[in-house]
Amino acid sequence: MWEIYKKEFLELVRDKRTLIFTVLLPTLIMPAIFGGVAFVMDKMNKKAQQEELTFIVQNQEAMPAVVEALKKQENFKLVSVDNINELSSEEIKQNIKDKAFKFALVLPVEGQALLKQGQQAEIELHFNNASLTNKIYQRVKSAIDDLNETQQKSLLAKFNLDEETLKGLTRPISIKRVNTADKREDTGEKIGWLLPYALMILILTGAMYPALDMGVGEKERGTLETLLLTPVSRTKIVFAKFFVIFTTGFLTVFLTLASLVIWSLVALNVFAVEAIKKLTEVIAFTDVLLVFTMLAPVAAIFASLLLCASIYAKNFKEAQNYMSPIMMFSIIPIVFSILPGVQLNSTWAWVPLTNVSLAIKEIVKGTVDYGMMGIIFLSTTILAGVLLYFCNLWFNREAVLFRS
Amino acid sequence: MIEVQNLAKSFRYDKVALKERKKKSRQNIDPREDNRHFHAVRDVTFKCEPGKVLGLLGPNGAGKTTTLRMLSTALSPTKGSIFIDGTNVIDSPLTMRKQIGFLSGKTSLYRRLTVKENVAYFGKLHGLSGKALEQKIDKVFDLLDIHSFANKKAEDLSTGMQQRANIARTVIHDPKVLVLDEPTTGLDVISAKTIVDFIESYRGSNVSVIFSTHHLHEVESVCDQVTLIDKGVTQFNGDVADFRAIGNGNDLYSSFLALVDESSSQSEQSDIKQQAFVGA
Repeated sequence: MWEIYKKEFLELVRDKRTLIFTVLLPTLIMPAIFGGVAFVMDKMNKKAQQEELTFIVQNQEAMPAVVEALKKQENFKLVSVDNINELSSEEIKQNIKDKAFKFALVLPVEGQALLKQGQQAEIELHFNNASLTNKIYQRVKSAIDDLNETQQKSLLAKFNLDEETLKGLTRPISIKRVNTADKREDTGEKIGWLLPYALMILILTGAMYPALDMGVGEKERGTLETLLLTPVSRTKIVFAKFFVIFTTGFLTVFLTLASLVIWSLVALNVFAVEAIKKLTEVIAFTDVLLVFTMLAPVAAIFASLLLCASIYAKNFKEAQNYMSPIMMFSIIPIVFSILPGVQLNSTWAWVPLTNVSLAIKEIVKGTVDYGMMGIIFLSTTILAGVLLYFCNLWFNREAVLFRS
Repeated sequence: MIEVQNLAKSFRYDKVALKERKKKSRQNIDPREDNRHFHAVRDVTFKCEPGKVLGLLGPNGAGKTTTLRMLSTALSPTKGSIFIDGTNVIDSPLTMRKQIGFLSGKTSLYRRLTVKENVAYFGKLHGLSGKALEQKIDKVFDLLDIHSFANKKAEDLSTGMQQRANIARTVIHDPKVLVLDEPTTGLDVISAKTIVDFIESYRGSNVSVIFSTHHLHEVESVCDQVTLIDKGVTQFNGDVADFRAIGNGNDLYSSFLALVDESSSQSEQSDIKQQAFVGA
């Protein structure tokens, strides 16, 4: 069996497609994609923050302080258009679309008077908010915030009020949130749903190509029949193939995690990324080991399932058709664990894949119930064993092996 | 010596095949088919002494490949027995595989492994290791003139080189019985000659060779005996000379036609069998 394992592994290592999906994708390509997206997003945010904003103001004389405040802002440019005060909302929209200006402020005609009376003056801000990196609202709000504060202070003085009384007036009863979850639980809850999902999908994708190659691939190339005629039992052949698929699936996750750790350390030490700092403060090495332990039977389940489908298929095309349902049926239980209100309990502990997903979430949150972990590990291992048993039965059936 | 007695093999139809059968009129149904099974081989008997080459003949769908797959232990017979030096292969297929070498036009090498790695792998699976394996590889490579491309990956080899490597893989464990299923099909003249020469080299040795082919000139040149099967039943067993004497033209071609039911040879290629049965 060891000889078959070694040979299968050697063949996979020499296969460019396996190398791409198992090694390059998790270690270089994925971090490069994530890093690239983060870099581009950052650039776009900065650009949006520094972008020149051309604007018009309707009824400028109504609130000159507002116009002055905006003009003082860096990269704000007041422009003029014909019949500025006559423009309708539709015409403003069209002008923004035509890039005549980026935004328009419509000041209330009686704005100054309202402020003098201590009332609220509502300004309309017309802009295109469809862009994800749009900063117009924040930048205009920030420009007007100073004015708001000055007006507020003058009103407080006028009515002889202090800030505490103002709070009592605007919100007599307020609720202060006291979170009993510690920092780790909080962070764990935020990222705990994504981690198992990403890891399990990685196992599946990492194991998929080797499974296809070693089952139906061998059938198509005519090497399976040769292998079946050696004095090695079919059970041993199945186990060897199973272990190779298991190893590659697991290796993909290992490399991804290792790569994430390394890239995170780089991000932490070189770029001092705050989110990474928070993450490394709460997740210990033992947690990572525990996550790996829980993922082992999952890798075994996927390896058995994929090998079964691959052995059964007549050709590569048919095998690929089986991969989509396997992917779908694997994702659904994982998605259950993301649903609101789904918590790890004695019922969910018996639902395959959902249980591991929930267990990983608990590990990340630091609220591990070791008894429950034991049950999940055991039930998942039993399921993997049953699937492997059926895989072996199939591999011993002539009707499956020589299906043509 | 290999001895095959009353060998039979039937396959259950799958659902698709059963559906197809319902569409088919009774008249066109092959007599080997019943409601649920296709009897690919019904009664095949022959024996081959060491040092002899037996040519297994028959039209397409006669049951040659199924028979050879049973001999190689890939398929289990429904009935009958296969003896190699008195031991029933069916009772202990795992052990008996060490005595059998199988080569067909369809079997191939692991393309991402070198020739040497391929041959060594099969040697190890047959229980060879260390120096014994190295020596054996050297000997086989010398014999087949493989050394010059021993470290090339199988995918980079020409068809002829691949065939030689395949032969090396087949004989690395010194089998007592060589089973060759249409090994020259689809090969060019030079590659086919390599195979024929290889078969020829076993004449007079202690190895029995069973060789299926559609090329009667190959039978003429290398075979000592002929077994002809049609519709899964042995129609002839005997020397090449006796086989030749059956036909009017005193050649293998006319003998073949005399023994094979021509109508069956036309109908045997019906699509349903090709698609629905396992290895028929």
